[in-house]
Amino acid sequence: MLHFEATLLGHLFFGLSLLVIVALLRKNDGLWHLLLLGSLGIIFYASSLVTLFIGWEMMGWSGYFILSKTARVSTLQRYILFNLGGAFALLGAIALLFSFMGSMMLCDIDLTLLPVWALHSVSALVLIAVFVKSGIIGAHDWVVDSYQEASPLFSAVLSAILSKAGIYLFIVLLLKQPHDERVLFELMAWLGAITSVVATFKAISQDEIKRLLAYSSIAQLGYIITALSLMQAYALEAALYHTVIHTLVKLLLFVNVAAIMAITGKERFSELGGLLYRVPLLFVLLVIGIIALAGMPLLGGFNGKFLLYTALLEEKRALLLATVMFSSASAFLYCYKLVYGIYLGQRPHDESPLHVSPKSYYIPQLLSAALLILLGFLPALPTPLFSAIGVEAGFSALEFTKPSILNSPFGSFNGAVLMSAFGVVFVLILGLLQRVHSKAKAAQNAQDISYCGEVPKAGVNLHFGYGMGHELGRIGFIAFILRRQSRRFWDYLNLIVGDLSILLRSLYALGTQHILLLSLLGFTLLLLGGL
Amino acid sequence: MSLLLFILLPLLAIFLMPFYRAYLHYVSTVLSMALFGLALTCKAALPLVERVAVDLPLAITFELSSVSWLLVTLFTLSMSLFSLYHLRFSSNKALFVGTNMLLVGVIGLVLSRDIFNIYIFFEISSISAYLLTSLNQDAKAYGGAIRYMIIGAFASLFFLLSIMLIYLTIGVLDLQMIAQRFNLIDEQVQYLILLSLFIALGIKTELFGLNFWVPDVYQASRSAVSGLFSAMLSKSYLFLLFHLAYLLHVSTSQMAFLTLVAALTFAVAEFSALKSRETKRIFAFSTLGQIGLIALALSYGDTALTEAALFLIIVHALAKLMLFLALDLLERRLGSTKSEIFARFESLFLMAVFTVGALSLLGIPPFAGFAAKLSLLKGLAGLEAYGAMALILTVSLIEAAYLFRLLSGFRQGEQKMVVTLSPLERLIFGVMMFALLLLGLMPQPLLALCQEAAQAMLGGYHAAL
Repeated sequence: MLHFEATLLGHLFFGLSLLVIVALLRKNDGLWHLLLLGSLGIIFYASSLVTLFIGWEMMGWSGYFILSKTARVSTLQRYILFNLGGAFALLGAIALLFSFMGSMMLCDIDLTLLPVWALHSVSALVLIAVFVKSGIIGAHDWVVDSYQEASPLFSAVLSAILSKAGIYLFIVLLLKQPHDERVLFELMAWLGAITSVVATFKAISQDEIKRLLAYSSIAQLGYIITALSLMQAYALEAALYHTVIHTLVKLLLFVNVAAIMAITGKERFSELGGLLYRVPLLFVLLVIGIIALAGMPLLGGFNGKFLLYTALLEEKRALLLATVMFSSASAFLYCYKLVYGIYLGQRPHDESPLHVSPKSYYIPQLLSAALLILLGFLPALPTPLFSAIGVEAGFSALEFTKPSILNSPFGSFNGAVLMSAFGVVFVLILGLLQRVHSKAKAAQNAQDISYCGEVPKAGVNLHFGYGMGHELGRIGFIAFILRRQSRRFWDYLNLIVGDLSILLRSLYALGTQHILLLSLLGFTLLLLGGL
Repeated sequence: MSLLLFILLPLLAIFLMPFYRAYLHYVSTVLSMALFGLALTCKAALPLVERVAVDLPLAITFELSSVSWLLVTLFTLSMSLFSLYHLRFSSNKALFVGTNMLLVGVIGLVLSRDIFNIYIFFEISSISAYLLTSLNQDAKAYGGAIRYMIIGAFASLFFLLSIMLIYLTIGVLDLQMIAQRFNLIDEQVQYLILLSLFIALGIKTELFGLNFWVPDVYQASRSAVSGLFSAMLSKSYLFLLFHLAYLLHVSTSQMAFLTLVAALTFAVAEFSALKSRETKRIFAFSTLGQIGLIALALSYGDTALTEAALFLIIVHALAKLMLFLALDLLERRLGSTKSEIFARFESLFLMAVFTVGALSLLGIPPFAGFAAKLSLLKGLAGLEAYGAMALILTVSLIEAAYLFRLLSGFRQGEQKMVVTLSPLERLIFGVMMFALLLLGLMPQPLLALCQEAAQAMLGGYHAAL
């Protein structure tokens, strides 16, 4: 029943899963995590559709049981219904593919043989599964609550790995499209871009750290989806690159936040702040994480964005590029909020004692920070792998000279040189600042604004960054985005289905005489009507 | 070896009851396991036909084809598990008589090859079902039993009407002969016969429009008994309905009507379960839904789909029996079957039982329900029945909503009662869970048997299409 095959793509995705899950493995729910890892292995090494689907479903329900330890019932219901909805759509696509191909093996699938309507149906069904897993707008209703209510470490798994399963599914099933039928992928490109914009602004306006990270995940997945929809070699490289980076970044950030939550017991920005001198190493790690997340040059995060922009340029998708750049630039705001809200600013008034940070939180963070820095020095290190995966999928090979030079259709850059130059400049500026700082006079306290003519109470947080994101609601266009909630639609649907259920259920409360009367009536009608 | 043993042994056991009044639960267990063994040994000799000598048209003919073998094996297995589960309780006369008569009834229904004989077993199974429903001896149980009896009598009436019309027009009762001569009957009378059969068997099969009584009866019965109804009674009528439909070569439009009714049965039942707060009722609705699904598959008259349907019959019988038995255990300990009880007990083993049962019902891998659903969808895709596929997948989501809501109950509640299971109970449930997992991972051997059975069941049917 189970068929497996080792592919480069499988190695890549399973390698990432192995990295994340092993780094996060803890004794108390280790068994479920191993089951999850097993199901991911089944998905990524499956060579038949059935095997793939078995892994897909096992991933869904093992995640459910891990989540069920911490999450509320409504969140659990949402998680399982969305994921099963996606899985059933995938099952429909598999059955449809089988009816045309007569085989369940992945290697036998040739989308060019499908009639147009079947191609569109299969693509749409698979895309539903992909969108649900990746949390693309409209299908993201389950994501944020689940991330928030999962245990800190399981949210890292959810964001770093489980959201990528959709990306893998797309590459395996839909990448080899006949190129003249691409209406759906046009839609997909825009859905990805819009998702990234909307999720970015939602992220900025969050007060809970994990909700911010969840929206940021959604936004990053939006970029990957946009990249995939272009269906060309550099775009695929961009998507894969971004997948790797996002996995590393989210592993780092969620573990960082988990450590903060373990130390302080708080999970809101408004309850945190000023931790810089208490846990400096965590601060440094977080800064590395957000530099990569924002896609600023130098660390690995830039490389994926760079490839995505050039791929969009090459395809002459100016509007799409502008949208992606807009959301990418806005993402700086939530990145800043992460650093500021936790580590900078003033300590909250009702300061509670800090617990000692468990050492085990540092290992996964150091690991992924090291990899991010490595990818900064050697940006083209994974290019041969991505190139080979592209060739497997039928694209031309990527240009590759040496690991330190990342090539794109619009030129290349040398990561090693850039990083070294940056290092030198950074040290210089740091030294300079240190000199200036030594002469600076520290403020007496954070409330020291006596020249304004008022003396605020001790509990008032006056730092300029405090409560950042609330003001966004005053900007008309952004307020419009923030007001949109797909939850209302799903709640409405839930209400209608519930009412229908109550209506239909009343049939089963009929008295015996009515049942007999109905049966007789049916008999008579059928007798007179004839068949 | 005689097929009559399947009928006579349980009946004999009932008649000899006064001799071992205190050991009825042991007798029942030994007997059903012996019958299960007997059924297994019959496999090599298929197909078996046996006629008890009376002059035609009153000869009693039994036939054990690959499909009836499959069902007889399933019924005796279900009965064995049911009796094993009841070993812990004291000897109960009504339960003994009821369950063994029910076993005779359902085995007779699938073995008989003439229609009057079928009627006899129709009545035997009905009477035992009324008896079993009233087992709890309270107002609710008697209310349910009386309701069941009235509706059952109504079904018998229509069944008798069709037998009468058949005998009046062509003068035979043997199914094969009826099939040969059915075309000789005037078309309008043919239609009347088919319609009466549909009403009679539709009530018993619990199809939409005729199944509004079912949840009440299941709720009035003990949970374990509901499990038996779900695993044996409804399945035997499901077989009978479609066996007759194939045999009498009903027209394409009549089959399409059955497809419609089956789809409605499936969808309406699953929707109705969504807001129910009573576990026994939820499982009853789920049974109705699965019956609709099986009927949907059978109504296409296609080999691949019939194979899937037979597989689903077995898998569903196992899963539902397991769920109902586990519910019975909870009902005995906690005194209720409201869905809140899921928050009131603590037992990792029982939680696993409910989880595996629910996942299998939903068709989620790696459990057996998935293999069934997959072959069902493959069959439908082969026939290009995309509407039915979409319906199944959409409604499955509704099914998921209520089953996972039940499961989420485990993690609520504060003061939990620790429920411990005896080693025998652990063994029974463990075997059933293992079977569901094994059938999910390695469905091929059973699917091969189902394929053989499907060909036997369809006979020459699709040749006529």
